[in-house]
Amino acid sequence: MPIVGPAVLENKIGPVDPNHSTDSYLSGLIHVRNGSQLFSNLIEAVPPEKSFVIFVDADSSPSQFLGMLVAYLSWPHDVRIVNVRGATLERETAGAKSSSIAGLFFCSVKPPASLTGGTHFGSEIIFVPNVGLGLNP
Amino acid sequence: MMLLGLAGAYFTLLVGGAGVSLLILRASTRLNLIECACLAWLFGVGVVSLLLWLGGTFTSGLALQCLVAALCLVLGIVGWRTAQRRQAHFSLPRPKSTVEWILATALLLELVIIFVVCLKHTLGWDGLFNWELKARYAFLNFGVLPESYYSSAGRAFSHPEYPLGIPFTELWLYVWMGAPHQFWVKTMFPLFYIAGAFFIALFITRVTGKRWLGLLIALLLPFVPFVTTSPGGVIVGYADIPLSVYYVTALGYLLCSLERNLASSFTAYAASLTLIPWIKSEGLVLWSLLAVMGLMVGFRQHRLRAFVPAVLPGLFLIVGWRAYLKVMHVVTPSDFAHPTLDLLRDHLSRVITIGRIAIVEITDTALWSTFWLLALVAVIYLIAARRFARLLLTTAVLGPVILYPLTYVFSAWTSYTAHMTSSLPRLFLHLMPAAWLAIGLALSSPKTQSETLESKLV
Repeated sequence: MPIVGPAVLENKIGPVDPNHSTDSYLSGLIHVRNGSQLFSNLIEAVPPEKSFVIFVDADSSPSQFLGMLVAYLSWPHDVRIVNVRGATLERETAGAKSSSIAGLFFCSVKPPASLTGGTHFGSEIIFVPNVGLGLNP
Repeated sequence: MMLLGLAGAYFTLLVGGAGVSLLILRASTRLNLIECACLAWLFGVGVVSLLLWLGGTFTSGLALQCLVAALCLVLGIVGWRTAQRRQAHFSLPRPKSTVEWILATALLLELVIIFVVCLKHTLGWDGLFNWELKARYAFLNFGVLPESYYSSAGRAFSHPEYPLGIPFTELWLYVWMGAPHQFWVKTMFPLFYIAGAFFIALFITRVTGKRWLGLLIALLLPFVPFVTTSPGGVIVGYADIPLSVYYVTALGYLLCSLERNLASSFTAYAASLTLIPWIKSEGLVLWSLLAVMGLMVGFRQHRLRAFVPAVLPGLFLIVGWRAYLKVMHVVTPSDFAHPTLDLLRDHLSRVITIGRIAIVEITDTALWSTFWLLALVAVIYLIAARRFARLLLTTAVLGPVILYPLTYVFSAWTSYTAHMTSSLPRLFLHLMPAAWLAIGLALSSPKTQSETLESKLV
């Protein structure tokens, strides 16, 4: 009973939070509190028809999980998740430049130096809006 | 307000489910309250999720909510009037000995603990991305999952092709609460577990006449480590425990129909069977197996005419869901390749490795303790009993143990062995309550097996 025992002994439930699970994961993985709401704030100005490209490390489960979390929270925007390995990142980001894309998310992946204007979201996510891609919004 | 909404969601769901249950049990004049409550939950989930899906094809928003709620109430009223017309009366079975009182009290305490622990844990990977995600997106789109979700390659990780039984029940809670809520939505998962525990107790009692044995087996359920500690267990909001509960319910009623030849048991089997493929895609394997078993029972009882309508709703649901996915241009699932004879020939060499991994997984004591060893002994004992019902139960446990691993012959993963180790234990979980049922029946001594104590059954 490694889970049941401590859970019962702790003698409390909650927090009773609408984003209970996503906030817990964001807190654990990228050390951001109230992360779901902050993420919504980050993308609220983006028109719904614009999409995001999410780069994740093909060899890292936490990175892939973060990518899925970003995709989950990005609704109703369309998303594309790109599994990258170091050597392919530059080529993949170059291929992601399009006026229909609102920005790129890098989950536990270091963006290429050619991309500027990135915003850190917690310790492991970097958001590069399309202005940083050298395109008009 | 949110809690009031949550209460409203559960109330309407349970009224609809209770209506269906009373219609199914209309041949009985004595109704077991606990059995009715468990059936009300299982069928309520089916009614609400199916109505939301079907209703969502032509309406949305408040109109959809009102339509589903009204139909639930109508079902409840029709069921209640049917029960009244037949002068059925409800009874709450009470423990009749000190041992039964102790076991019943311990079981209730255990169920409360499971409920509390479920509220503490976050939704797991699949619980969040495969199920809750659909409920959230549908809620944000006025109660209907948009076509763009089904066809989005970027969200293929959330398996848009998975059926909507669980996510649309979550959606029903959201619709009533007025917002998606990852905490309160978790309240529904322990209810599946509780229903499953009560059904196991009920079926064992009903078939063996020993209530203490039924209570004891129900009490032992969470002592299989997988149930509370691993992805797929009761606390992470996955569909595996709910699927296992529908499976054991359909199976249990089929056995009761065979042992006691009750028409209502066969109808309850048919209704539970219908919902199995609506809970999870893998339910198709379980549905097929139980449908064949139902056919065998139909042959044996010379009731083939009752068998056809029993499988038709499930068949319509399976075909209807596939057709709907096609219309929605669902993104092609990438876990399994389309099974063909050529592919089977190419991948036949996998079988030995698959068998080896299956044995490793099923004998992993960190996940299962000695559970499968007990189940194996029980199965051998049941086979030795050479009774049709016992052989049927054996098939229901052994069949998927063999069929599930064989599906990985068609795995499309680069490493099919990684695919197996990541998902096979959860598939075995679907059989756990059925295997407990086998253990319970095997524990009942042959001398008293045939006794059916009517007073204990209802």
